[in-house]
Amino acid sequence: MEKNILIVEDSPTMRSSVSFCLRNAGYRVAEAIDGKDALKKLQSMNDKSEPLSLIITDINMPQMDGITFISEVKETDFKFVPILVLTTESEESVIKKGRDAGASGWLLKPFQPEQLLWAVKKVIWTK
Amino acid sequence: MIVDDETLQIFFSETEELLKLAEESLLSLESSPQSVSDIEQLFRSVHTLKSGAGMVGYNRISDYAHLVESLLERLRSGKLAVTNNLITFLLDSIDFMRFMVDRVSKSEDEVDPEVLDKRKDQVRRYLGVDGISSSEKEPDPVKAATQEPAKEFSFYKIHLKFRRELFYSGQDPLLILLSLSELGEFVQVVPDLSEFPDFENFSMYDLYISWQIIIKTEQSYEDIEDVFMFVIDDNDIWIEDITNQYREGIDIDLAEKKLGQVLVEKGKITEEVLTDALKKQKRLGDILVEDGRIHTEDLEKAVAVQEERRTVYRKTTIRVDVEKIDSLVNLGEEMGIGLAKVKTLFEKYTGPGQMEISEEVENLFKVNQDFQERVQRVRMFSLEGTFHRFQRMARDLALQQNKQIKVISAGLDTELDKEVIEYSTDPLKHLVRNCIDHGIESPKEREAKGKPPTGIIKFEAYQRGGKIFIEICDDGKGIDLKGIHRKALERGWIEPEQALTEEALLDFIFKPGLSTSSKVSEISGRGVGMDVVRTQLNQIGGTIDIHTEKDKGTTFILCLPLISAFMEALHVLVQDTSFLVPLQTVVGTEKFDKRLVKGIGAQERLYRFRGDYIPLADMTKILHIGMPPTNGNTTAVVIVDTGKKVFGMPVDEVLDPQQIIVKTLETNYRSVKGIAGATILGDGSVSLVLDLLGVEEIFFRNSFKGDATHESEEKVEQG
Amino acid sequence: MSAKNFSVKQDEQGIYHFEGELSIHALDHLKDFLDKSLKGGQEIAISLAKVRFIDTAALQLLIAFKKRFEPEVKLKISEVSSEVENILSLCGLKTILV
Repeated sequence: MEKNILIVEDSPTMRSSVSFCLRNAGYRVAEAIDGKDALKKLQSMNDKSEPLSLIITDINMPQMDGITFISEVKETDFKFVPILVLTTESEESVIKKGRDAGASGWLLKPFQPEQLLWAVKKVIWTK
Repeated sequence: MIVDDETLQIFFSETEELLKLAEESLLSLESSPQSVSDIEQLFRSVHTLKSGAGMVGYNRISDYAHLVESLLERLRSGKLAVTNNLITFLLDSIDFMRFMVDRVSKSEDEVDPEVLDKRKDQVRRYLGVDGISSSEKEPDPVKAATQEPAKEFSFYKIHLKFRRELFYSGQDPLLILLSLSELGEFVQVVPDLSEFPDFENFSMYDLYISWQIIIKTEQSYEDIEDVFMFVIDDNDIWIEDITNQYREGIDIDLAEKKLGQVLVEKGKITEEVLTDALKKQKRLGDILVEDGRIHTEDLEKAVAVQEERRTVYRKTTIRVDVEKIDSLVNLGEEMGIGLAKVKTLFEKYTGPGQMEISEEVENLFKVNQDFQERVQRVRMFSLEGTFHRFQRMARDLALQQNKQIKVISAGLDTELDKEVIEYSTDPLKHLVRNCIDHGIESPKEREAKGKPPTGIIKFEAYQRGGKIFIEICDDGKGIDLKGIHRKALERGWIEPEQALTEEALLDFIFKPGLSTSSKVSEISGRGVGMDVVRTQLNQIGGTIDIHTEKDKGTTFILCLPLISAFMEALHVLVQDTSFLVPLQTVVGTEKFDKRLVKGIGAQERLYRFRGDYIPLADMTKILHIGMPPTNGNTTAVVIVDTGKKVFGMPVDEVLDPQQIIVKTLETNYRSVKGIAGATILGDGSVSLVLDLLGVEEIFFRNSFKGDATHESEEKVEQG
Repeated sequence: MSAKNFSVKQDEQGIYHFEGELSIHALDHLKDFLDKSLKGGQEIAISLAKVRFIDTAALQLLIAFKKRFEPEVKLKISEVSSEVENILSLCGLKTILV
């Protein structure tokens, strides 16, 4: 069955390349430009009873940052959906903050497609 | 990462924006080196660029940006101070990144590896020998590709005890078991349900099961550890290499028992040690977190950044092909022309509903006008970007010449038509150069004059009366009017005893071949002078004015049209037909005086103008648009100069000049020679815009055979 | 996923056929079902032949009910799909559940 992934990222390049890689791997991808936008997308998924397998989110974003977004997700029906945080080596504290907020894992930018898929495989059942 | 074309395009446009942001923050940092928000923006931009470039596979750009980011990280953490040198270096780095991006956008290689290495070394020099801390090392290549597989099998015993709230992190032990199983063969899997509560105390979203696994694998300890990457920090996970025990032969029964029991039974540890180890393990996790280079300071900073990010609201923009906007402009105008026709038709209509109809048409007129204005605004851009570029240029130039300057910009949000901006950028650049090269003195010179050593360059833009004004002002030495006078004499432009006003002298600046500076800067070069500036500005309907005062400074004032398609035109009537004559070709208008007319032959007439006879071009005869012949109502003559010919146009009435947007006729009418297009005037009437070159061609080829032009007659090619 | 792509059907023999994904997102549903069907003190048989995926949380819930009601009332997993079979052997819970 096709799995849906929501990517939340303000950098258009990052968003587009991650989407491309995931689509190539057979996932269905929805995109959001920041936390606020993502919450809206989640709401509409919920309304339509669309299943969601994974959220991949950036941390530093305008409108609503990733940590706040994750905390907000935990207040919704999507609270058990795994969340991967996109971050970089210079934001190590973010990994902890992300985890404290309830993220499942993280990925350091920039990354190769296989690294992305490897991280995805760690948090969702891909068999 | 292999990406699609769309992602690449996105990357290019995002990168352009990021480099611009980085540059802006650098320039701003120069005047306020403590600005946290500028440092943050700079860092963010380079940081995002690095990731983006890495994602789309431009690793050299990414590598370089990574180094620059490390440098910026030191700036951010206060380990490095903002100096002029550093800013210059960083601006240069930005340029280098832009250079690489430009190259890849043309499908060329990013950069020669040797050049890149040199550039990287430069950054490293700034970073110092120990510049790159362990956390800033180049990212590891994908492990699987480089790791030599271990030939021998190893046995690992893995104890997995997760925290109760694991599910709330979106994690599932199953996935870890699955990943683990892919590394080798499970010898034993023992779930531990000892923590499983009574049904009453069971909470279905908590995790109670733990596992003990023995795996036989060719992989290394690190590979096993990798599986637990996301959970190792806040769960109790032990990995023990038990290969030796297996070689000695293992007691199968042991595997059936719980891990704690096994360890205790084997005499490896006592019960106490086990509990202790468990406790320690837990603390270790915490320590790891704390050790993970999270200092309170960093944390606070990160929070501050996020706060800031939250408040900075970025305008969302989309990129639209200019052609699409232009086609909207055209459609709007066509609608206007159509409406004007409808209006004329209904003017004669007196049937039922006449009032309502004319009201409705009137209303549509207004809506259409509003629509057109709005569409045109889409083409308008603020001058911010242009000013920033100048700021950068001024700074670089001043540095080269050891001058100190401060740039002040005002009216950054003033909007101009994209085309006007494009066409006025070069002239503006030249003026900025002028200010630095010829205006601002060296700090010593300035001090000697009792001025502050730092010169001030001011860019200001504002809108007034349908025009945009851009002022470029310096507080330098002013234009050397005596020097101009001397040069003009040398070049034989004036006579020694000739008295000249300041204005007349300044006008020489716009004459080719006048340069009053002995030094020539790298950018300004030789040869291109103010004459080019004026010509370029005139082309888009702009003008330039200069004010200068010795040792006080010089101000260049540019006056630009709001929209390039706008054209100033003289509005005239000939036989009730409304025409617009482009103003830039109009020499002047004269009251029509019959006595000045001289007939030569049956049709052609000449008119005396400033001592010469010029031909009179009768629109009713030249244009084949079904106008009645002239009935002798001529009151004025419009004298035009097309650059090739000078001629007069007898008209019945000269009305107020108009600012117009030319609309080509082709789509509405057949193409009419001599008419450039039509436009709707403020009152809703349609007026024809004359194409004087076309008029000239028809006139001189077909009607007028006399030679009264200021040049020898030219043969007009047929066809 | 928040949508419940999981359903239960009972056949003529009284076997409950689970279908879809038995995951943490379907726990409420699963708990309701188990509560209702076990409280009457009847034995139940569940077929997991059409279950593509079962996660730890769902396995735990089944175990919790099994522990609570057995041996008085039997909760029997009659058949499993190959996917569930793999998962059960992966986590070593087969003997406990089936």
